[in-house]
Amino acid sequence: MRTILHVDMDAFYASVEELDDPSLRGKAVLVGGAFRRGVVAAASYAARKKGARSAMPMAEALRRCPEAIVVPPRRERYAEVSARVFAIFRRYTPLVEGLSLDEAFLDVTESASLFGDGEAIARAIRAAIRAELSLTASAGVASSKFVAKVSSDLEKPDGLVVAPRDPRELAAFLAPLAVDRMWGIGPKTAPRLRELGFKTFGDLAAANVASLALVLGNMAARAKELARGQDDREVVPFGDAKSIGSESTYEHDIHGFEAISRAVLSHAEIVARRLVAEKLRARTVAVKIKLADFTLLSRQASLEEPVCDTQSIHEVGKELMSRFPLQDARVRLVGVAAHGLVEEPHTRPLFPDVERERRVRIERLVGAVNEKHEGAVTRATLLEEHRRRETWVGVAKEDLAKVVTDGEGPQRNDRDRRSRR
Amino acid sequence: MELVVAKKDLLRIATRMQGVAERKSTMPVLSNVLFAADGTSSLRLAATDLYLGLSGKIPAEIGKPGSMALPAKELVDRIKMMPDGPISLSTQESGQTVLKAAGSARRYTLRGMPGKDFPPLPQPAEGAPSLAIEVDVLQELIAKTHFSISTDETRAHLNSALFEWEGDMVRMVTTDGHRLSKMEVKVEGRQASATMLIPLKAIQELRKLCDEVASESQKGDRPQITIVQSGSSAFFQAGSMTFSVKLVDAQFPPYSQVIPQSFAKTVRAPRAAFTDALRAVSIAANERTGGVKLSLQSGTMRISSESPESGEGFDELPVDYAGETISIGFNAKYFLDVLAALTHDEVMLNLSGELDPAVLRPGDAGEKGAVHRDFLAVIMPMRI
Repeated sequence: MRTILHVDMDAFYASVEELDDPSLRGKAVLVGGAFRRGVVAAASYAARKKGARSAMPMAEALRRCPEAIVVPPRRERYAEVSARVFAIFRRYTPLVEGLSLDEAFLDVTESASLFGDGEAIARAIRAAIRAELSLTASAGVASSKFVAKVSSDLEKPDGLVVAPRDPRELAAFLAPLAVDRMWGIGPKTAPRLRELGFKTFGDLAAANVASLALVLGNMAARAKELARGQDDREVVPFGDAKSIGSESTYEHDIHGFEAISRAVLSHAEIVARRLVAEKLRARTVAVKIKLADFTLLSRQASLEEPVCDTQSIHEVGKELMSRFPLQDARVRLVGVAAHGLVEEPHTRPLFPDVERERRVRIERLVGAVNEKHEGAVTRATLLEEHRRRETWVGVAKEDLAKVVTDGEGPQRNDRDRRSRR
Repeated sequence: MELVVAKKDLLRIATRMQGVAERKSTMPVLSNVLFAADGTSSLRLAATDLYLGLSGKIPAEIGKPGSMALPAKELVDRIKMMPDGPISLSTQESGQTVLKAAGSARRYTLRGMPGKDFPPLPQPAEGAPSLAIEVDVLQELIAKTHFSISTDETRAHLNSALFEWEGDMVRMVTTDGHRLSKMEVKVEGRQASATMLIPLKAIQELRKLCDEVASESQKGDRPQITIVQSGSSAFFQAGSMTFSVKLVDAQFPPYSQVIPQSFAKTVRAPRAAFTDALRAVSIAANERTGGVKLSLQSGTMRISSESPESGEGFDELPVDYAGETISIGFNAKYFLDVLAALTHDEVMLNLSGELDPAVLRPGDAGEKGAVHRDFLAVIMPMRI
């Protein structure tokens, strides 16, 4: 029988903000993009007590919790802390499947002889996160992914729940849980299930699939299995992320091809940076645009050669964008995503594409410099948005020159990264 | 349709057909094998996935002519279970088809589709140029190159083998973008000019077809395959079998430019010992990269691997090398594929710098021999 942990950082973005700025500690903190129109990316527990939730429109969260302090998200900082959290996970097993920056599944079945049982490992991981990062995490220990995830949520924040391994005890453990906790059952579906008398996991487990299907459709049989704790999905380790994306909701609608293209470029830059950092390339690039009236436009293109650099992603993005009727359109959200991720080839290419290699090299250089001096190098087109960092540029140039001349910058980073894994 | 055929003949040809029939097509008829009895003494079978087509004839006693398309996998499964000897096959208008073993009660009923629903296979144009090549030559071209065809179906130009006939030289070249294999054989007295890109799936089927023709030939015979290029297809004919291939319409990379013409270092190594040591060390290589390091110093090749997950591996073997010390990282599989395809006692490895391509070829290449045969593999290094 497998031993799987689900570890979930508590109010991760908000906790990182509190960590970095002591004046925020214990206060209602909302992390979110554009002030009036964005959505809440994370809410501290103080804000949650007042009814603010992540994914809630910022305006709604502020109505419920007017005293909240709104902090713009600093994704790179979260990614940095996340890397340290994941490094702690990997001390105990190589089988770490990250679901996002702040949660992961760990298969620790083979780690027992070294570190003890699942509960002992979960305790050790939570203790290490607290001691080394001053953050808290909740964990669930079970013999399947689904039960581990449900368990980690039961005593949040700072909780540890170990689900029974015996199937009969497990059924009894799951039976009283409310259907809302079921994977794929959201605020729209749950009330309909309750109307039909399915209030708990126990009700789902005992249900007739045909009657469940009235509400859940083709998910019915799966939901019944999960409600009994049956879930064979394996922990798929890091690197198998399905996609990397970046999007923003803007405080003021943007319009005009140039402005939208610039927004696409800024997201392409973020996506490219993550692709390069994780040594991945994308076969598919997708662009998403939401108009002021909430019409969602999205298109994607599959490429013959996988890409990982800003320029290539932006070129595809612009081409996709040009297929949308954006004349006079007011745009509230722009996003870029990379799908079909493949590992950067380890072996050198036999038929090098000089232009493509040059672009990848530039991306690595920029990444290496930015790693040292955050946001020091960007594209001229995006300078407007980065103007406040102007003072950094002098430093960056020297660094860039050094990296260019000794050519060691990105390689040194590659090596660092590999050893950290 | 009513007919009687020998189990042995039917099983052999139906198995070949199953390799071509498409299981997951949106056109259900493509998962079938066409049976067509129009003459009196032979049965024609055909299968296609619209890119590849295979047709062939076997001897049969035809009671009543007709045609029927029967599901390939089900058909083969049932023929296999039949006792040796004659099998009778009879079909009804409804599609119902009965397979019965003579002299036994064993019988299957299958549902077929009308033969007229089966798409016609392409035919070569009248007078299209044709070339004859010995089956053993084609077998060797494929055996020495098939492993470096890219399996990436989205890159059609690499997901295929380049077949070239230039003067009296026939050549097959394959590459996946990180390694390349080239085999050429001189066919004395046959001058021609042809270039075709044959998709991977066709190469796999062609290989089986060649093996079968070779295994059926008399000892000492050198059976031939006729190749006809017509329109966008190529036709490979051997005996009563015709294999048609929709050729890839793409540009094969300029391979001759990446074959190094000069080298700084030459190593001669015993093939068996090299293979053995590489295979041993590669099981400890990083699973994701398959990387091993080859370190050469005077008279010795050291092979080592290390990975955070699986520890380290090491071995060494005596080689013929007199140059300076050098270390280069490679994907072990790229070497093992080539070494397994070669039969020579010795292999020659040419190296230049750490980031330069390596060339692997038979050690006794170019030596006196009746026929000119030339093989080489280009393998790109990796950073270790």
